[in-house]
Amino acid sequence: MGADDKKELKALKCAKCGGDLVKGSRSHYDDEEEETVTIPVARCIQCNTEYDQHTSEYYEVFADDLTYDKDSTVFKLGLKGKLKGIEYEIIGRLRYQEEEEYEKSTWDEWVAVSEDGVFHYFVEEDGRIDSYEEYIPESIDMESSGSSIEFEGKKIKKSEGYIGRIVLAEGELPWTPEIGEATLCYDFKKDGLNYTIEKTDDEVSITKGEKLSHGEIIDAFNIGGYKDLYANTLKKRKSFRWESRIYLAAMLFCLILSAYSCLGDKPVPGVMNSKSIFMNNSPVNDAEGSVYESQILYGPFDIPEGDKLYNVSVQVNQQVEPLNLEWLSFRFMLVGESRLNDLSEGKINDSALLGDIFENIDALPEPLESYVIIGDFWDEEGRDSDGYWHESDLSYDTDFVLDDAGKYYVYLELFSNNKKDVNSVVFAISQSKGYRYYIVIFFVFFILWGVSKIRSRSYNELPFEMSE
Amino acid sequence: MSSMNCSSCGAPVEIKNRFSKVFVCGYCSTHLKVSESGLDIAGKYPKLAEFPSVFQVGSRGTILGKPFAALGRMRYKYQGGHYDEWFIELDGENAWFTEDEGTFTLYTDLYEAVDIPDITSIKAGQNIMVGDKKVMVKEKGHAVVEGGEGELYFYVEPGTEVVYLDAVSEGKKVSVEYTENEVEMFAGRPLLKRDIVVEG
Repeated sequence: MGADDKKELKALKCAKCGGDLVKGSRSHYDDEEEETVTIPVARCIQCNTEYDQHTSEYYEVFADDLTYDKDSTVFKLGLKGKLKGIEYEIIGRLRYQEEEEYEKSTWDEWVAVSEDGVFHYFVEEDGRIDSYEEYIPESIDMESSGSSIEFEGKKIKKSEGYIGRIVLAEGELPWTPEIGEATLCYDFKKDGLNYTIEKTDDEVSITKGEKLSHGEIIDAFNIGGYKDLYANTLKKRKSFRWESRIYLAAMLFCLILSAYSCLGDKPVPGVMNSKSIFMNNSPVNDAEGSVYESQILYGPFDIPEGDKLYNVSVQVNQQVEPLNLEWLSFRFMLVGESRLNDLSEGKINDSALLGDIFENIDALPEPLESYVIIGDFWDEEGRDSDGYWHESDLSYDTDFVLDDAGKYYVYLELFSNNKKDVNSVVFAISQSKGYRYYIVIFFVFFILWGVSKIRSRSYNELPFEMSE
Repeated sequence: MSSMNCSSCGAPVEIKNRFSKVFVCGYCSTHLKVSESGLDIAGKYPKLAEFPSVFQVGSRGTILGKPFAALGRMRYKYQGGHYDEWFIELDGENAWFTEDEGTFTLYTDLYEAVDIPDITSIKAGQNIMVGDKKVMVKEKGHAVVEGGEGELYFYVEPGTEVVYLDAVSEGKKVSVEYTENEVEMFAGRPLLKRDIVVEG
């Protein structure tokens, strides 16, 4: 009788009352997660006894959830083949589930017998295949130290062990396993090779292994139907790898261009060299009460090139007059000299006329400005549950594209809850090389690189998982 | 080598190894204890069932390139099936070769009547001192002697239960067998089928 038959015959009964067991769940507060979590449990429909993942009953009840993809594997029972000159036959399979995981976290141990009369184990987990066989260590001590295992001079922490529970057994196996049977496993590397120590109540098994590619397995066991799919998968993955390299190179190129552009910003000179003050801290009453308004016209100055990206920064000059627990709003307008000249009918040097124009700027049928920014600066303090806080926002900058070169003015309108020195707000304009565009392009390439990278690892035409 | 006759059926008996303690008559399956005075009947048991095996009593060839002769075997039955423990001469020395479900182990070192802890307390993964050797127990199991064939270095009556330990020590496979009367420890190494060449 095969182990699989045994599993079929084993009834799912409560150990306490003999009642039927069904799938259920239990909610409890998890101290680590700091929230209520719901975990699956097997439950007796008669006495309500719960069986969690530390019991064999749990795996009997949930076996179907942990084995639904049991056929999505490269190996099959009865496969025969020749690997590295040795003939093997796959005679049995065990599937384990990691005990600490509530979600499916399984691996398959395929038992093969070789022409040399040696049991061999092919472990298939997360698309990776490792080949293991029995190993006799020069020295091993599993019990002298409470916290570690000594293995040929290497210390393996016992805390790194994990428990696997059998959820599927089929074919011929060297022993008769039970569903839910627990095995304590330690996986570790030594001198570049993989080792596994598996311990049950009755037996300790020590195996040494190495990683195998799916190609080696498909060739060795002559799994003809998969050869083309495997070749296509490799070809596609290679092509995605190349794509990802190209995107990576493009990302680096964007970064270099961006760095070059940052260093290459060219300030527009003399933007604040001359100014006319139309209004200086005049009290104005609005819906929120009395505020102070100032109007200043800076310029003219030359914008050297049209249809280019420019950057403007407006900020409070704290050295002139600090902003201290108060606010200040501004309106920044870039106005072309020709437009202002047209509006003033050639009397551009008439300060009083210009003052009137800007006083009524919002009533103009066509916008006067080529570009406008409206913003606020503020400085605040307060207290909250974390205690005292003090925050301020004292600068603003943005990019804009100016279509035409020529002479320009900046009209700056300030509103504040206290009188402020009109010189306390300063601005600068610079011709930008557009590093931000390169950063945007960089991120586009980054996303493409990420997608290609993922696809270079995950693209798969095979009916089972295959890692790199 | 000495020639005698079976005390039960009179068939000719040829003892090839001077250390053999029991001979199983190939004709009548009587178990004959070898003593200075001759052959004493220990009992008569059924012949062993024929299972595929690399050896037969009398097989010759090489193991790891050294000449061997298969003298006899004891068969044990355990939960996983059965295994044969062959008594062989290997390059002029006594050795033991186990064949268990198609896997092979050669034991060349024998430690007789060793002193080891109480078998009931021993668990898998435990270190024990066997004589002056520290060994780690890999498995503890129970087996029942099914019978024998040919010349035997050890003899345990068929039907007797033995407790065995599979262990490792100093890079070698170790097998410890307990019977009512004594404890023996063997140390050796696993073999691949290709390590064994049987003539004919």
